[in-house]
Amino acid sequence: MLLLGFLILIASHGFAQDISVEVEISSRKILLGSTAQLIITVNGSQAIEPIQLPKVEGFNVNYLGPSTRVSIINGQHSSSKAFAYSLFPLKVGQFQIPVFDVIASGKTYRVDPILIEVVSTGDQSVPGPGSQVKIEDKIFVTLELPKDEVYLSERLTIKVFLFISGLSVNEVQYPQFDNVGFSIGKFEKPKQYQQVISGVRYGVVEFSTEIYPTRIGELRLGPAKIECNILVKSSARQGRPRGRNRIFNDDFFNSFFDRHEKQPIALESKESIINVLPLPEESRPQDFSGGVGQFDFNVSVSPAEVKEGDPVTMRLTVIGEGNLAAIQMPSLPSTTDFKLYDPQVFEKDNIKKTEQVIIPRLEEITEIPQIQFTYFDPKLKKYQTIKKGPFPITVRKLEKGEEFKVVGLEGEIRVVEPETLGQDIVFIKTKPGRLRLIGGAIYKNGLFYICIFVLTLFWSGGLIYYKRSDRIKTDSVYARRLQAPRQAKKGLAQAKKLIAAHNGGEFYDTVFKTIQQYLGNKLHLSSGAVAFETVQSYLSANNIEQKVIDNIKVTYDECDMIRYASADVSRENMDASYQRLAQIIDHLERFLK
Amino acid sequence: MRNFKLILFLIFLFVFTSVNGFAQITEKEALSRFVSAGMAYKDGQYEEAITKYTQIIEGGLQSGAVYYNLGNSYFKKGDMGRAILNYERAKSLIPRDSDLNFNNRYVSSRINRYSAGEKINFLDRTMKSYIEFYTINEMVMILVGAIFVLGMVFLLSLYLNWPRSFIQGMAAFLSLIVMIYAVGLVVKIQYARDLAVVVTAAESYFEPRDDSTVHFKLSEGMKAKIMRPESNWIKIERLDGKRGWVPLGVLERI
Repeated sequence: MLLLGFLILIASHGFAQDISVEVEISSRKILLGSTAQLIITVNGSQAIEPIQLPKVEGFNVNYLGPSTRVSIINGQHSSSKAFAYSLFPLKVGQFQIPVFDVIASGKTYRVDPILIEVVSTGDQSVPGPGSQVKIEDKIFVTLELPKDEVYLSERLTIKVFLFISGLSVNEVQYPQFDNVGFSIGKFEKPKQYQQVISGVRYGVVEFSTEIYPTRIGELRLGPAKIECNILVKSSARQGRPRGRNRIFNDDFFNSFFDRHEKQPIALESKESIINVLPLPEESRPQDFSGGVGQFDFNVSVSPAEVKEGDPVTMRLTVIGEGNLAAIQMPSLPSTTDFKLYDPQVFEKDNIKKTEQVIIPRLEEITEIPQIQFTYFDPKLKKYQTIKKGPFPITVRKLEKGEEFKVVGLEGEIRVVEPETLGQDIVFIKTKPGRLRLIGGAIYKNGLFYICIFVLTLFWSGGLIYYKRSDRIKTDSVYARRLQAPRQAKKGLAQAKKLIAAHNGGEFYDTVFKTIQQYLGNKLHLSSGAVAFETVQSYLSANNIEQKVIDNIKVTYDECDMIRYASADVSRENMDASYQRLAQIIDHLERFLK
Repeated sequence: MRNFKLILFLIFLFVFTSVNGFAQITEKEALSRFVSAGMAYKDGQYEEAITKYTQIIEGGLQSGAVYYNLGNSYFKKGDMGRAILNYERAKSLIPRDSDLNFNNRYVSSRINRYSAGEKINFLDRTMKSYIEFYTINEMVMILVGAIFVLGMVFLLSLYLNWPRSFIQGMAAFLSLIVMIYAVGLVVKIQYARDLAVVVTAAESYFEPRDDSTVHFKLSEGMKAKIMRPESNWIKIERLDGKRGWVPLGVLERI
């Protein structure tokens, strides 16, 4: 039955008015195999130096992490930072977390010792000093050897047991050994079963592997180390106070407490002593294969009858329990009677075998010689030799027509006669190609230069056109000057039509507009600014003849008189006005730059 | 209008006067002689073949094949110097013809030479391979074409507002081509100018006189530069740099 958790509040108020340190533990009485949580909360400061929790006897302490809480209530700002620890008890008894300091905002706050009681399952009372229960009684590792005296290289099967009682365990790692002097094989898949020892039921995980001593003398094997996780359920929720804002009611801490925790644990077995004996030297055969154990040896040869030059396969097999990997497989001695190829070696479980191709060189060969395998038997404590053969074999001479052939050349043999290659020039050409004038290099041809000239002209035209278009877009003075004669030409044409129609009023309107527009464009003046006085000063400054300026004045006066006085106008007068306007425009086009 | 007619007349005058004369034989006649020369060659009548091929050339027409066949005919006749001279002339018209290059190398290998020939380094060798790969006309056309394209790229870039990086890249590429071909053309013209082939084995003297001291020897087919003529003598420079005087007729310009 699980003990109810008990919350204690240890508050150590510092000297500063706003800073306080609270230490809370989820339960003061906890079960062996479960965990308790310790929360250290600092209110009113975030500048906290790392907390050095002292070593707690009888516990494995794990730091779970920090949490920060900031709140503003009625404009009042407050903050706190909490540090959570998990305490995993290792034995039954009464223990205490020693006094420790918390430094916040440069000031030290001392936390008083906290008493914790650890009880065993089903035992609510505290046991006496002589009957202390430890976590090692609930989970432990043992190492088992079949014997403690072996020969060098002798195979030894060892077992490692993991005993578990009343705990949930997962992620069990394979046993590890740090020892030297042994070659340790891979562990097989572990067996799992239950076993009762001294009235207590244990779940057992059994690992087994083989080891081979690689040096003689008294060697230590172990401890076997196994790492695993113990799943422990926090006792925080039970007995949790429901009072005012207790910290364990906080959602943040629920995430710590309301689940199973993985508590990593490293377990070690006791170590064992093995006495490794050397192999006897005095009776060691010269062809000793290195094998130590109990073996059987077999040899097969096939086919027993071959043609000269055909291969024979010899298969050697060693079966048994021992150091197969270290065995040097026997082979035929090098001889002129056989051509020997490198053997191929296979090893699986308790079998090691080789396949070797040999080719009898002579027809006279009648047998493959005897082969023997020598090993050391540790049970009999002496060397053993197994002999096989000789193996009878028949080598038949190749008959005519059975000789070696190169595939693809059956039937005919190509004989290449030596030849002497002649040398001479290549024959004449039968087509004359393109006949052209002598000295007719393209750069001496006028047409070539004409083409270049045309291309240059075309290119220059393109460039000039672009430049002109670009200037018209960007230079309004230039654009208006360019426009002036064109518009004047149109105006003159219109005036001519009006003379023919004998329409004096519109004629002088047109004449006025034409000269007004022409002079405005030419002198870059706005239409409102084109008055005779303005024009006169511009033209005089550009050295235009006075006669032309006078003609302009006459034209302006004529236009004003006819347009505003509605006088009758004769055709001769219109012709004279037209001629005057044409002369003015012609003169200004030639001399006004 | 009057001025325009005058300009047009001057242009036509320039075009017609700049054409390098006219052939004295028609293309048909030249073709007929080419065929009959080939038949003579097949019959082993090399002298006749030489005459027919020479008539085409003297008639003012030429082609790489005519010079090649003439070179072959001279070789068959045993005149190595003139064989090489005509192969070199053919090279200026069909420089990448494999038959021509083979025959030229083969005939050159059969000539006894008195000097190792030109001493040229890697750069000169590369340049020589480059300029011998093209005819002068090809180089001129490529050069003019590249300049025209360069101009068009400039013009189009103004009208079409091409990206500056593209224009710069194109301009750099085309300028490089223009530069390479301009240099190649100048070097080719310089190299070909005054280059001649020794058609008769001869001796070169220190002075342009019969009784002068012999300086070096010239073998048939050897190339040399003509420096300047003086009455019946020519000052030459062998490709290994040695200079001397030889009588007229020993060399013929390529």
